[in-house]
Amino acid sequence: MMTTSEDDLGGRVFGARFRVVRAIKQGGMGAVYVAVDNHAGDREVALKVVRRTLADDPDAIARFKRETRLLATLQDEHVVTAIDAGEDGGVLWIAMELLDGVSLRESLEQRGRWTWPRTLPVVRQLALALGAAHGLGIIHRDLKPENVMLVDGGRTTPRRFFRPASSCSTLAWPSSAAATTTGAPTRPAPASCSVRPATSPPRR
Amino acid sequence: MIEGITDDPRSDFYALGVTWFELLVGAPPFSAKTPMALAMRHVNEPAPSPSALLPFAPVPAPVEALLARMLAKRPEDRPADARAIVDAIDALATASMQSTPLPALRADQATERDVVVPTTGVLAFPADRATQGVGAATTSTPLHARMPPAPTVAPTTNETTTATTTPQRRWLATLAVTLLVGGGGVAVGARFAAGTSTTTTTTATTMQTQTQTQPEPIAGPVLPTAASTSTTTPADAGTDDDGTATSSNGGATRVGSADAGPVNARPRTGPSGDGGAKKPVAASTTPAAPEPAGLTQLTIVALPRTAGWKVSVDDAPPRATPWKVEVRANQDHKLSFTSPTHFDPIVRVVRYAAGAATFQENLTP
Repeated sequence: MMTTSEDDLGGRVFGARFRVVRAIKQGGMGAVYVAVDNHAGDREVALKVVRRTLADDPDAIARFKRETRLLATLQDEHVVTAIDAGEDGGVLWIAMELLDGVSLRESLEQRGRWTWPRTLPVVRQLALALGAAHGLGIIHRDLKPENVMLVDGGRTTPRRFFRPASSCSTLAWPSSAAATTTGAPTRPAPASCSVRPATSPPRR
Repeated sequence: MIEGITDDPRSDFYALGVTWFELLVGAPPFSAKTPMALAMRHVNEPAPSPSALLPFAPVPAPVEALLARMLAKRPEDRPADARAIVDAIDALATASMQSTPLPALRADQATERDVVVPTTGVLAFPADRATQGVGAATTSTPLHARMPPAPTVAPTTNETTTATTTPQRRWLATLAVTLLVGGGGVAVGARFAAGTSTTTTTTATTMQTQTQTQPEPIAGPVLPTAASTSTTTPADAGTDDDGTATSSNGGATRVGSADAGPVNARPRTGPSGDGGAKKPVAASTTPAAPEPAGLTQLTIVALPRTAGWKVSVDDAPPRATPWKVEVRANQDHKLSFTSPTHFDPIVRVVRYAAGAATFQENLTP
């Protein structure tokens, strides 16, 4: 959980462009906030920061940086897009696309199980996202309903696409090679912080 | 989940399988009080089959097979790479679009008393049963209904009659009613006319078959089209059935039968009974029935699920004059079909989601 101090990031600016608006989620390794990017017309982004208590842990920092690099290289429509990353006042942060949608976990809790035909596109997209990550030597390691976001697709299809996001635990990437994507922040979705590593639904 | 075990990318496929399982079933494959215990279960226990957990919301065999591969304990048994998963899913989608013949499921499992009605797939009956056909000796397919002549009785025309005693009966009565309303009902009615209510009862007793809901995941995804064909909406749309409907549908026909009086509620119920509507009648005339093959009563017990299930029973193979009956599950999720004659039912289960049939399974005895 976050320490109170970490909850006090409201209004704080990171990277001279991302101003924290509110918290979305707090996890063991850090927290995810909604921030506005003043370099982009104040659009909202998801800003993930490393928990302060871990800021002094070289391994944690190394993992976070690796994650950030990997996320930057993983460009896949089904994976959350990283915007920027850096360190301010000892706080490591990464700004990611803010996803608007609900996590698979929320979907399950709200509407129960899915009919099998509906699951196919989701699984397919997740496989595509994993394939993109694996191609870069990145292993997610924490794929679960909480880490997959269902994002509304294009206007044409009101269908939800989703992107699996890795969990916040991302911060804790295995030091080993692949890192997984991390949870990227999404919109206020309780989903986890998700990075959207995963796939998004196929668009048609 | 079981992460941390390896750096193998296939560990992600396992996690994807677990996620998929939860989407399908609404709960993860394993649960335990402690993380350690959970991990042990993941490591040691085979994941349950979604269809086994949800008999009436069966998952097609090909889907289950892919899921099982993803959940394989040994990474080597899982899909080699993400592409393999994507390709497998695309193949599933294609199959479903083309209405690829579903893989046959076990045909030998059904017995007279225990008819397995896989929610998905083909239901097979013992060959012998099929063999004997009375009037209509349809040797060829086990499916055929036999038409042992049913003793005709004066048809009690009413459901009332039928309805009587047992709850089950009552249920049947209800069913009958429904059928009447619906298009499919007609055909049935006709058939029944021949059979007496009495007969029905008897038969039922004797041959009652209970279908288990066990799902055998058989087939692949079904096409909507197919579904339409098979399904006629009993209550709602009497009319529209496609193919079958045509014949059975003729509202007129139906009506007629109803009028005929011979049609009893009960008999109706036993939609099954009929071999082609016409033929059976004739056959039935003579009480002497050869050894009956097939069933006289079929009971399908469905697990309580959301309302969107529809079950239909046909005589198989299709007769020149097709007849078809469809029913909606009652509150007990039990469907019974009784016939004065022996028949080899083809049970179709159609599930509707959001008002549309998402898939259909054909159970062919």
